[in-house]
Amino acid sequence: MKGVIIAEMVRWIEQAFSPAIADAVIVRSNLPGDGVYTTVGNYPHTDALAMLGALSEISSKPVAVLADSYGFWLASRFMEIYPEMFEGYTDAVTFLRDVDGQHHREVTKLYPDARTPSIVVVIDGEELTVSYGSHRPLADVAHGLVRGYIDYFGDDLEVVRDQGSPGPHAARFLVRKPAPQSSG
Amino acid sequence: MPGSPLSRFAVPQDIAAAIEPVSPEAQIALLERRLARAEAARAAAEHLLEQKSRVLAAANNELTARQDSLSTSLERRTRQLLDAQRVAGFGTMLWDIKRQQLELSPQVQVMIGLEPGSSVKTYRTLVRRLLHEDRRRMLDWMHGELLARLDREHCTRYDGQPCQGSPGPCEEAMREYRIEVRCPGGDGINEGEGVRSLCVMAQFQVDSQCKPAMIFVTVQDITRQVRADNEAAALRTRELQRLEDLERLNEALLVAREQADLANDAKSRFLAMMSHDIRTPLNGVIGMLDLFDESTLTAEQRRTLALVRSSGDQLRVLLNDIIDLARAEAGKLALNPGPTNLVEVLTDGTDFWRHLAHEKSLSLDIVLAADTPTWVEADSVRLRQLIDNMLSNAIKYTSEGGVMVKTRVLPNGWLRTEVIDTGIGIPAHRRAELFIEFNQLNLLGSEPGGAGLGLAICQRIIEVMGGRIGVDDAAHGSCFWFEIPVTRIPVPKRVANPAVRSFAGSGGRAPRVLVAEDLATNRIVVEGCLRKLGCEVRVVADGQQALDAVVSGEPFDLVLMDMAMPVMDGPEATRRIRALPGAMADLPIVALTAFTRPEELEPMMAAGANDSVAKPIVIDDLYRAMSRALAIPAANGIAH
Repeated sequence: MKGVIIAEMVRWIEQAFSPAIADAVIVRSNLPGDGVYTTVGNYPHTDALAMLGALSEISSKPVAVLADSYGFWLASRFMEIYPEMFEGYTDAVTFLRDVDGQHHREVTKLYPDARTPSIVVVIDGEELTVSYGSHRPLADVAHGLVRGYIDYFGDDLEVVRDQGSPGPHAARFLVRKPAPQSSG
Repeated sequence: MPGSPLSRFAVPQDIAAAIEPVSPEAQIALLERRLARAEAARAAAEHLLEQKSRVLAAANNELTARQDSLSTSLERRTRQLLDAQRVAGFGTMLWDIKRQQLELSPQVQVMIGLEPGSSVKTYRTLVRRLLHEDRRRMLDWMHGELLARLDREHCTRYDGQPCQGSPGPCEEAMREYRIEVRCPGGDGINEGEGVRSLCVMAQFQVDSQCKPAMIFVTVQDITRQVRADNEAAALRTRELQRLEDLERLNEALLVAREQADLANDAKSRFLAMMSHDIRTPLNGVIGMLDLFDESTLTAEQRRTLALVRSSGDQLRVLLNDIIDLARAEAGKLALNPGPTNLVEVLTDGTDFWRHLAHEKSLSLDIVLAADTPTWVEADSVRLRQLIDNMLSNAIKYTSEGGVMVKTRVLPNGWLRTEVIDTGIGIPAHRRAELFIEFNQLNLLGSEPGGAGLGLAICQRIIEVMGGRIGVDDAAHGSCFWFEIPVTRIPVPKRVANPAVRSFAGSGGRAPRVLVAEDLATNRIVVEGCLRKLGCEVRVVADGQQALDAVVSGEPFDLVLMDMAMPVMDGPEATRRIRALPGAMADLPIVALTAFTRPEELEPMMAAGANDSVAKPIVIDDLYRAMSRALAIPAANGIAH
């Protein structure tokens, strides 16, 4: 896993909880590198899973909720760290359509050893289906990321996770306009 | 604007109390741990970046080396291409339409007389380098054909439909534009001289919308090819001129030949008439001589008569030679082969010459090889003519010593006869002249005489016989020889008593002969000859009288019919006799005429004459012809 994912996770824990909690999570996770992460390195994704697990124990929050929240936050971080990725895009749908074809290709050029997840986007009328697949069980992080992009572009869309999704390694998200709310 | 993406979370209070540092020492410890991690991360990042820098540097070095290699290769290939263009007299140009930039290969600059590397910004600079008379043509070509393409909105595809920017090959894009122009300065071999011919070909390079983006131009030096074409054209022109000259010459030759043929015909007609006109009186002279009864003459008269007779014979021989020559030139010299006693021709036939030789105190020896055949199938008259001519010359040009005639059979079966003399000899370089008509060598010590026809006629006779004739050196003079193909035949049946030459003793009554002859002299001669041959004779003066005599029923055995006669000529009289009823129509008729050429005899033979006898009359010839016509075996001839 690219260092940026796990290094940003430590940063997120410090901000969403506290530096002491982040320190405790690192200690409790018994990580081989003792929580020393740099964005230019590569680390086992099990470190991230271990930290999410330790955080869940400490906070009594489900791992899925924590991962989704981290993904949502990470989308905004990508905009800060890699602003060139978002240049020319004005809506989330177009950006998501190009994730696998354009953005992951750029990642692969920079990091030939990177194993990016596969993202397949299907547009059917006004509905967008984003299918995620990865050897890493981080479908919840992906869900948060999709939400984060929609939030960034300010589109009036909702993301619904297909309940038939097979598990943490794969998921399908429906992106659509929210149903009008009844007044009564 | 979206809200903050960070959701803050709280942890259970007991746990938070256990984790969050309260004391300053605990807070410091936490900070130190975080700091230590940050420091470690920075060090790790630096290490990783250094590693990546090294990798990048190595990659950079590799890429630089590859770029250098590619640059070198490109440079080498470019140099090779330019060398190839220089050797081939070939250059390229590229005109970037959008940027209005012209790029020339060095060879193009050399070909149009510019320094390689000179700055050429527009095509007008190139046009100005051409010969003045080619500039307007070049500009018309460029504007009318090449640049006009740029103004068109669309091009045309192969199917003739507008292309409208569709991808794929385009006819307009594939089209080649071509022109040949000339510029001064160099003929492709010697720089600075003559005119250089260039072939310019252009093709558009189009963009994805099929719009012209570039014009690619090749320039080929075709000076040598043009010069070769010009030389070939000049050669063709010269050859055609030569052919025309030859045709004109041929026409002139044809006209000349036609004129020569006409002249030759005229000469032949003249000869025929002349020979006839000479023969007729000569016949009278010689014939009259034969009528002399020598027993009644004195010795002086006999000698005088012999001289007159000899002169007459010489005149007759000369006349015959001239006629033979005329026949030979007309290609009408024909042979009359028959059983011939070769030994007799070579021995008895040379008695006359032996007599002449002895008068000059010369020897004449006849040497026949053992294998010499006695009887052969040959024209005895022509064979005798050959030997007579050679012997005549040999004796004429030999003043002492002698003449020898040698005959033998060659391995190929041909007969070779040599006449060897001890005379003045013939220089090798003048031998060919011997066989030219009317030509005498006038050699030192020779005694010119005769008409110079003998050997020329011999050569013509030999040609007709299919043989060879020539002259070689002899030990003390010359050796004239001829070789002819002969066919050996068995001994024919001969009649006895070859000395008898008369119809008187042939068994029955004397033949009764009707003679039609208009000239009184000839009538006397013929009548005398016939009486010598033991015939009864009646003489008339023209054809009409002859016809009347036959019709009268008088029993003639034979008619001797002259050809040219007043009132009715010989052919007409003959035709009428042949038209008579009964046995009269079968009366043997022998033409008696001074006309001897076959075509001259033709009217007489066509009218139905059985045979002919030439004037001046040789009594032997008359006897043989009559014998054939009467179907009586000739006493000294061959049985028929």
